[in-house]
Parts: sequence; C-alpha cells; structure tokens
Amino acid sequence: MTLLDVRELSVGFSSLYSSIKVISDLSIHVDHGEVFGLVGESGCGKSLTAYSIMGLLPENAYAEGAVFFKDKNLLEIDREELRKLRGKDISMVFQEPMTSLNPVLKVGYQIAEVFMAHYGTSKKEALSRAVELMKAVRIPSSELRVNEYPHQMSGGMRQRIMIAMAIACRPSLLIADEPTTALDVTIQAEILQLIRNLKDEDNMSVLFITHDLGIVSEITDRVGVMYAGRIVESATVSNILNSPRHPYTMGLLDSLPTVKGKPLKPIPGNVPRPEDLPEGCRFSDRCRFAMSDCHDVEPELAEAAPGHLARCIRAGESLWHS
Amino acid sequence: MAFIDVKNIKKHFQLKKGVRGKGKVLKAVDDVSFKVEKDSVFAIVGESGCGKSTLARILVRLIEPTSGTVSFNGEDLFNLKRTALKKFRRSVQIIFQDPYASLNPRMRVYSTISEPMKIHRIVPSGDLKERVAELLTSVGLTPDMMDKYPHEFSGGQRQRICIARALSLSPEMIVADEPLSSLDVSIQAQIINLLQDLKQKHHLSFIFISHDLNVVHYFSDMVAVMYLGRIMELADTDELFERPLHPYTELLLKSAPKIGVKNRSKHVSNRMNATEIPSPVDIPDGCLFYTRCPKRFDACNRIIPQLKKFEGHSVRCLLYS
Repeated sequence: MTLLDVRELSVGFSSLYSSIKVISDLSIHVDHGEVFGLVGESGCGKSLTAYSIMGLLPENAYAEGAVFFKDKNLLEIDREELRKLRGKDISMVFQEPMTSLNPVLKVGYQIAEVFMAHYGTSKKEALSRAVELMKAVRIPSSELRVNEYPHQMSGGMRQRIMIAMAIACRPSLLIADEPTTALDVTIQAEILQLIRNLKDEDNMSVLFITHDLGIVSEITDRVGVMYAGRIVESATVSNILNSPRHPYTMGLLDSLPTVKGKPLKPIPGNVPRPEDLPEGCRFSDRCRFAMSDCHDVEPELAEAAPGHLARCIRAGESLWHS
Repeated sequence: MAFIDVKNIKKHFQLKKGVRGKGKVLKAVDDVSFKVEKDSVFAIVGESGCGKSTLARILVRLIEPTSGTVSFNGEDLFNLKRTALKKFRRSVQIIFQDPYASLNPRMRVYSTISEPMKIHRIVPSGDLKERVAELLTSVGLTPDMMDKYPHEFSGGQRQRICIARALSLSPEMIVADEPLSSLDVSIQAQIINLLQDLKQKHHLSFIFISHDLNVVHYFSDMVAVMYLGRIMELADTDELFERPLHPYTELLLKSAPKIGVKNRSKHVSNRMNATEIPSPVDIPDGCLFYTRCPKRFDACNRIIPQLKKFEGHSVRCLLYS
C-alpha cells in the first residue's frame, strides 16, 4: 500500500529577474515498510525533493504538483498541520550530524524535546524516554551520555542521536538524506544495520537518499535514479543494478572500479546546470548511445520492461554491456 | 636502495595544559616505517583520525616529525638544505582532498599553474603560456580555460587544475591525499583514469591516501592499513585484499559497501565489540585495536604487539607471532 505518493513535483527558485526550475515533474511513491532509494550525483535535486516533502524549502523556492502522505497533500495543508506531522509521522535524518544538532543543548534534552513538543510529556518523563531511545540506537552507557553535549560525541554517535530523535514518535516515514556519507565505513555499516532493524521492527518506510550504489544495493528495495532534476530510471534494486535501461545508470555502474587493470568507463563531461540544460534529452550530450533524435525531443518516462521505467528512447534495446 | 624509505617516523602533538594536571600527548603518527619503490603506488588506508594525512604532510616536508627519518633517493629529507631542498620540492608534489580550498580564488588558472615553474625557473618565460596550455590539455582541459578563475569550474575540473599544477614541475612522485573523496562517482572515475594515464606516461610514483577501499584495490600496488597512528598491516594490494590477516583489516574490508553484497552491515556489527574508536589521546594499553577487536584474547590487553613479518605480510597482531 502506498504511504507517500509524490506526483509531478516541480521545484524551482524564483527571484525578481529570473526563475530556475531544478526539479521537473518528479513522480515517486514509497510503499508501507519498504526502503525506496533516491540516487543521483550532487546537484541533481535529490535533497531538494526531501525538503519539499518535509516542507523545509527555503523562502525563495516554489513547489508545484502534489505530495500525498496518507491522503493529505503536504503541499497544501497549513503550516500548523504540517508541524504536527513533522517529527511525528514523517521525520528526517540529515547528512551532517555535526551541524544538525544544537551545540548548546544536551543531547538527551534534544531527544526529550520531541516528546514534549508532540505529546506534552513532562520533562522528567521525556528524559527517561530519551535514555531508552538512546539504548535502542545502541549508544553505550546511555544513562551517562544523556547529559553530554554534541561536541563530546563522535560522528557515529551523533548520527545515532539524530536517528533517536527521528524515530522518537515512531514515524511511519523516515527520510534519510545521505545519513552515512560523513562517516567511516565501519560506522556506516552499523548505522545502516540500525536503520534496517528499526524498519523491520516498526514496519517503517524509508526514503533513502544517497549517491553510493554500494549502499543502494545493500539497503533499498526499489530505486529511482535522478539526473538533472528528473527521474531517469526507476525499478527494483536488482533490476537497476543488474539490467539498467538508462545509459546514465549504466554510466554510474561503469564508473565503479571492479576488476584491477581494466580501465574505467567514466561518464564524459559534467552535470549540466539547471539554467543551462541541453536540448532534448538532458543526458544526451554525455551519452554514448545518443542518436540525432535524442538532441531534439525529451523522452517520457516509459515502461521498458514490466515495472521498470526509463526515460530513454533506446530503453527497449539491450544496450547494457554491449 | 628504495626510492622512499620511511623509518620509525613519529609525530606527537603536545596538547595544551588543562586547568588540572599536565597536557596530554596526541600520538598522530607513531613509529611508522615503510618503503616505496619507484613507479609504484603505495596506498595508506584507515578511518578518519588515524594519522594518514599527518603522514602525508610529513612525507612532503610540510611538517617536521618528532623523530624518525625519511630518505628520498638515499638522501635524508629533513637534513636537506637550500638547493637540495629546492630540488626535492620539485620532485615531490601533493594533491589535496578539497579542490575548492586548495586553489587561490583570486588567481587565474594560468597564474596558478605557471607559478611553480616561475619559482623554479625551469621554463623560459616566453614559453610559459605554451607549457600551461600543454599541461591543461594533458589533464583533459582546454587551453582557453587558462584565463578563468577557479569559481568558474566544477569540482572535477578543479581537481584537474590541481593535478596540472602538480605536474608542472615534472615531479617523480605525487602524494595524493584523498584526491577523490569530494567528487561525484562519475567524476571520480575520470580522475582515476587520468592518474593512471599520467602514471604510465611520466613514470610517476604515488602515495595514495584514501578511505575508499574499492579505489585503493583498483589503483595501488602496496597497502598500509593505519589505526590510531600505527601501521597495523602492510602487504601487497592483491594479497591484502584476498587474505587480510589483521582483524582490523578484515573489518575494514567487510565494511566497504559493494554492489551485490546484501548483508555486509549485519555481518560487521554482529562481530564488532564496542563501536567507538578510542580517542587518540587516550589509547588502550595493549593492542590499539583491543577495544573493538572480535578476535581479542586476554594477552591483547597487556602486550603491545609489534609489526612482524608473517607469510609475506607485515602484521601487528598477537595472533601471528
């Protein structure tokens, strides 16, 4: 059953003189209990997608389309209603645990605040629940560390605090925006395991944003690949990794070092800026399979195989490993 | 004679004294020794804070070690004077992690790349433009970009500019301190291919510092695994990836995300003991890895293991002595 349904979301920034669209007609959905991975390189709009769902877009940004969460359109409900949802039904873990915690408040209090704000719990009660949450995210000697400040903790521990805050009200949707990018690989593995356990225990859904295909392979069920503000491919994780249909996805996979000595096949060129997109398919100028048609008309996101969508006119051909 | 011979390098930082008692000593690099052969890639891996960047800075003599020696082509690096030092500066170059911070925002690309050549007077001033154009082409940029400022480039292009600057003096060795970690995957592949090409074309040696094990496996010939300032294991790259001996190396390799591996994290977190890396000022008494090691036994807490040869590896673990 669908929990989050993003329909034709467009996000842009407007100023007095110009207006730039950075996300165009993005449609994704996240089902109950599944992990949906949103993959792409920096600047493709994946974080901005998360911010629009959470209602955290900056002042000068606009969002069009619809974001349905349990039959409510998050883009239309008023601020007060959104505030009640945020942190309770939908919560978010950010990339930088260092900058997203308040440096002058004890970590225990920051977790307790969630209970006080949403349920009006007393401070004492909320603090004891904070300790329990810290145990749940496996922070050693939680009773002592509840009184620490963020600077006294390591990056991995801080990210655990962020996760504890996010799951405090047992949300049905967790948005994780590159939650492990700033962490060492050993810690990364633990945080992923933690998210997976929490998901299994509570049947929570996760929108997992990352640029790392290794992590995608490990934790997600379905994947949407973004390029220059658009979804270019979407399918189950095994289809994306084993039989990609869009040349951009293929390029990402080819960029990873696998066999020693075999030259890598990087994607040539750079990601285009949103104000400077190529004509036709947005990937056409970097694509090794591009034909003349690709430079004229932008293809639709169409079914290339059952349940496998790709935005490429050659998606029906078997290009992968050819 | 090894091209680079690092012997018992230590770098200790004296921390400021607190209100009570005396200041502690941070052992950023502790008793590190290794050799690098010519035309080879020597990789240093480890988690953040293990001392790999400090080591890189020592190797190019940006900072002086507390004790120990580094010899470069047989000469003691920290005893080089004037001309010899200048010659060393020419033969060893460094590329930093963050191409946004390592280029002067107020200098055009031309000035950035030509400055080293002017200082070392290796190219007649009339030929500088031509040489800069040549360097830009060799790193996959175009000569017309020399009149631009760094802010006009993307991260990958900036890293190429840094590489061009490093190449301008035709060095024998490049120390690359996490040159890929601020770049996107597709751009990372471009830069690896470029480094690979340049290595073959110019017979460069590399000291390659990274935390990305897939890249290290792909690019390097020898690997040293560092933990809290010490080398825990040192071996030929293929050998190390195929048969890691030290429990820490094993843990690192298992933690690296790989496509098609579903249960890595389950595996890792089930095996690991406490999760936090000890603070480098408060290191454990016995083996440094004791607190996190899945294979620890009693003696590990008391005896400090030495780096010993074992089946072609050098490994610092009591299991292999």
